[in-house]
Amino acid sequence: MSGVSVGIRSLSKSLGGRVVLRAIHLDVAAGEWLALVGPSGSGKTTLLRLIAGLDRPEGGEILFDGCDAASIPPRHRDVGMVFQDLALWPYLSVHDHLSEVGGDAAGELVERFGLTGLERMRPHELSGGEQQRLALARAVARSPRLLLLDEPFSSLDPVLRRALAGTLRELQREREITTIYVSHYFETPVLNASRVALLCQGRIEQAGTVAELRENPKSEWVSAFFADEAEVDS
Amino acid sequence: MTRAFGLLLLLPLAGFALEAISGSGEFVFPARAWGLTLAGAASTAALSIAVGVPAGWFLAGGGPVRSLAALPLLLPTLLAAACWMALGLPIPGLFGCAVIHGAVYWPVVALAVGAALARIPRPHLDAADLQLSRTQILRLVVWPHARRPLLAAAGIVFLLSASEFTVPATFAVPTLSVVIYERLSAFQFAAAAWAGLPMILAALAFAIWVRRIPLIPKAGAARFPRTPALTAGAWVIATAAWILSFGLPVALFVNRAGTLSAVLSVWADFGVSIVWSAGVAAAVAAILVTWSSLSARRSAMEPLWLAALFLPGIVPALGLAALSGRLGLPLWFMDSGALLALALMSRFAAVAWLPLRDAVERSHIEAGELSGMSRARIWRKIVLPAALPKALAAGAIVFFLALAEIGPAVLLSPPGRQTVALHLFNWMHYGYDETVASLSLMLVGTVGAVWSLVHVGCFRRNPIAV
Repeated sequence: MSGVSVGIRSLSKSLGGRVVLRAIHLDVAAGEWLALVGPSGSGKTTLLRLIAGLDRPEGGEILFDGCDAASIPPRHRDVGMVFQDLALWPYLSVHDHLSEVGGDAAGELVERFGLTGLERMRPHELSGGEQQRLALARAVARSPRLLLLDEPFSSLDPVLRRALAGTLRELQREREITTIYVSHYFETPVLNASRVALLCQGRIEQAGTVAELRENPKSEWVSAFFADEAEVDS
Repeated sequence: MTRAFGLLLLLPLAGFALEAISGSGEFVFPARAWGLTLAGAASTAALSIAVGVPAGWFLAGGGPVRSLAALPLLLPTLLAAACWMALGLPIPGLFGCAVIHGAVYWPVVALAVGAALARIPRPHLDAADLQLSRTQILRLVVWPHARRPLLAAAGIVFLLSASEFTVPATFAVPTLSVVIYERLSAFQFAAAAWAGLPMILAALAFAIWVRRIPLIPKAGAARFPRTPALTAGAWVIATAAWILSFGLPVALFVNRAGTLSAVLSVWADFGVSIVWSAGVAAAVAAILVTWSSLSARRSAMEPLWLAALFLPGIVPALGLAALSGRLGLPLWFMDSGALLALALMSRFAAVAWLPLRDAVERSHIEAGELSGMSRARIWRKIVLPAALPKALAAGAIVFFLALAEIGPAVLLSPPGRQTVALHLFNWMHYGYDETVASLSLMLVGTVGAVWSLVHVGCFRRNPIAV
């Protein structure tokens, strides 16, 4: 099954009296890999949570394949998500995590994400990298049509980050899953994205390919962000 | 469903408020009762701070003693009153009652202060050590961390003491809760409700403020460094307080109760009552814990449930009795014990709710939802394993509180089915004897069992943590 197209129309959200998202407009094509980049507090996680249906927007709408998703509960949105804190279930083993979500596909996922031999372990017995791999494997276990990744590699070393990013990219291409990858800086998965959307203070400042953004920044903030964030995994 | 049950738990308070507005009897402001109540509660709070602050300093070091400090708090005030009688002391006045309350409630302050001190980040203290004097460290680093929990704990003690019914009723001190009961006995429902209404408002305001302050010590090693001399002094105060408020009562009860066969014989005499009370208390605990674990998220109704904990137990009982009269509930229902159970649930809802509402990370449940798991499966696979230790602890505490509660039992016990605590309360009016000591020992034994479960649920480090 291929990915879903996502349309975001005038999406607004406030948290604790503070406006986090201001009338966001964004389109993500089916099977596209979009990177959502912005500084801390710019509203990236909030936007992901709204798309997943975990929070409700105050205004605007989210369209899945052109249909309003407001009435679809999270469990029926066909969305996989890697949370910033991973949200692994402390009392379930690696195998239980994957079989609860993916059923018979658990064995294949264990192999694919390099978790062989760790099946009986629980999250607190895994290393940071293994926990990340488990979170990724769980997110794709149900073959979702949309994958939301909230800074999934933030705590990994560059070598592990590249390896996992490669696995993820391979899987995304193979299954044509629409993917939204959130990061606060320009790392490899962002540079490999088909498009990048820059989020600043709850607004999409500019969206386009990395080359477009670099060559034609629409604002001083975008050019400054590129100047400051020219960091690339090496 | 869980929200509907949460609303049902507020029925007794709603009934109480309704009675104040439209019940029978004239409103007479009980000025003397209010004066006595406020003075007594302030004395209890001051005593608890005097003992609890040094004890908290000692407890900040962590270790198994921290959970031992909870033992006197679990001892019902009824037993503290029995201990006073066992010592052969003269009938206490207002301040004697405050001393008895202080003996039970000082651990609230000690645990809150201990938790606050243990949570001061070590780097803050290290940085202060390099540049500040000891006095400056206390003023600029320690005090700001301890101030709010200390105030909150003192407020809790104040309200618990102000609303306490058993001790002033035993020793005939006309505090507010006793006056409410007396007016109720004279069928002056409105007058009784008006007398307690300001207390509801005070408890509600306090509950809104206090619910964000962490009071239960976090498991794990404390990082708070303490000077040996101060710690030794704190240890002496904490140990003396613990012996006087827990060790002494237990020793007195054991001494007076006589042989094991004599104790068992008394328990057998009250067997039916013990089984009945335990059944009601177990049902209350099971229902509240299940409800709390099914909800597992914050609710706007929390302050109301918390306020019910700070009110005299006869308040929800009065509300429910009046409401059931207005609704014309059938006699078999009134006699079933359901009203008593509902009043107890209303009173102790917060005890089950607060530890369990945050037992599971929100993102863990959300991950389950996104993974397509059903609600039942999420509860069984994610919520229940994570919440089980706290559920056990909360359930055990609710069970014991419900078992030892007097206020609702006085008003709502069905005919011929008094709870064991009510039997003990009534028996104490004839003086302190072997029966009182034996029944007190039974409650002490229950305290021990409850403490064991609390120890497992709250104080031991959870080995499974990501």
